[in-house]
Amino acid sequence: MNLGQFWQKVCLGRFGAFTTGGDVRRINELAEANGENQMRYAIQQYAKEMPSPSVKDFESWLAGQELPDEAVCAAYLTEDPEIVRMAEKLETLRGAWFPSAETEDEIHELESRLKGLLL
Amino acid sequence: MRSHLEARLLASVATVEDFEALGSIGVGEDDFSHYRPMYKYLVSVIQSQGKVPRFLDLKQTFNLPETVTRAASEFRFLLGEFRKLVVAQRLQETIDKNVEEFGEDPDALLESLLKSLMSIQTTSQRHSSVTDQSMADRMDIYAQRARRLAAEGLIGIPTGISHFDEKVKIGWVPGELNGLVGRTYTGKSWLLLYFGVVAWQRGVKVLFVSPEMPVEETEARFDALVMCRNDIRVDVSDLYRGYVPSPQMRDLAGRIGKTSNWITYSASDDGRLGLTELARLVNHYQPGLLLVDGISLLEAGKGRRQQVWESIKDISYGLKNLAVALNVAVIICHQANRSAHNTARPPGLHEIAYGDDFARACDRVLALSRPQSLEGQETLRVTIQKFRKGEPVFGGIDFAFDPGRGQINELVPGDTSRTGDNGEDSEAGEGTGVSLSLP
Repeated sequence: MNLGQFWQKVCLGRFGAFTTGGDVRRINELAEANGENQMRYAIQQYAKEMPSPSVKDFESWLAGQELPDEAVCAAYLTEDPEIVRMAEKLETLRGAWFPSAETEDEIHELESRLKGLLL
Repeated sequence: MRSHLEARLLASVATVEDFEALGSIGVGEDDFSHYRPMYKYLVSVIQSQGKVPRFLDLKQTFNLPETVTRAASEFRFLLGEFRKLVVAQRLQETIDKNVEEFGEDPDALLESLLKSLMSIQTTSQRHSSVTDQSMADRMDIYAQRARRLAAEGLIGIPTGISHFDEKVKIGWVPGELNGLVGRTYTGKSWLLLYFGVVAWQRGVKVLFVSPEMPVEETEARFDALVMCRNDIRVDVSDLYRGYVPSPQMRDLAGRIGKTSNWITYSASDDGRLGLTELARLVNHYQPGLLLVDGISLLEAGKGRRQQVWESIKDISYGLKNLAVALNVAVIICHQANRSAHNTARPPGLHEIAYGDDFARACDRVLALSRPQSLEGQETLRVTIQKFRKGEPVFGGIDFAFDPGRGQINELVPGDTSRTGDNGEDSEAGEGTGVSLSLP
């Protein structure tokens, strides 16, 4: 299922709203620009927060977000506890204010493992 | 009288260390109104020759009265007397200056006086020490700490974080400012209360100051946390709504009611709380731990408008100053200014309003994040981003986090204290009861 179809499914399933061909095209364009996993994760989060979806609203919502990168989003989407834990550890380490060399090494290792597993 | 004391004190300075002792208690050139040239002469001779001038030279140069002698044994006594005189004079000058400036506005006068008076105390008594001379004394202090560590298991106030309490063995230390940062709704206030409850259970007096949360709400949260730590589960929303307490709860409340070690203070009507008011509260209640729930509603001082950056900087360093001057451990919350969907990532320094100044003033900074809820377990992650007395912990420390039901406790490998492994809760069942549940 491509992102446009995923958007349609979310709109229909969660909100009972229909989408236009233009909406689907725009969602696919956004997916190409941002990355498929990131967009899928973004749509999931948007659907949790917004009572009535629209592509225009989604785009402005997206502009204000600081989403995880493609690999981390892919990990979240698996919903596999071990993989999610790994992704979260990576995110936590990336939040270090003054990372040490060991922290940098650990980040690099986790990135490689996640990319190898999911991308 | 004053001129005689000045002459006797300066004449009694027999060594360079004696002269440095003047500076260490905050006495300087400006405090000598009659014998300032003699003070300056002492400075110049010490600088050029590395020793104090002969008494005879002083006597002849400055025409000292016959009664003035150099008696080394008198020096400490004279120093103490002169310090009292200087403090009294500074008090008078401070009061006069403030009355002149704010005499028309009693509220502003009080605010300004409290602030100015506190600075007199800090500069004269707290901030300076003759480092080399006091080294031998410090050896005793280190030994004393080691004995305390052996007896109590840690230095300072227990934190409820095993990294501090068990690994590093340094809890919240008086004189430290500790920052707690997190995005909106991550649980900063709850964690702050948790730190308070952990300390309170060890008999530490806690002052919880909330510039925005009403006292009743804070106290309901306190009740839920304390009940949970005594194996009694209650939903804090029930407490807000009204709740018929069980006999167990009443019994617990009766026992806790015999102590008076936790003070909750809510901000005044206008929702703002000044640093001087905070210092007054600390002076009044003498807590071991001061918890401040939110920096943004504090204000550095009345009487002048400030930019936000200026205000955060003043408040951060003001709080640090307060912690040192009043010998109290302080924990304060600060909010990250945006929400993000990578909730496992702690807020960055750039996300905190004027975070550089805040982080610089803090001795420790803990950042909160919320990993995704997995296997029905709500988790709060605490990363130690700065720790002046030890190493940061960037990987984070996880807490089981169900504050609505009073449950906050660190998750350790093999932990069995998490909520409802069997999916059920009970009012007085298993759970997070801790061995030391009452102070």
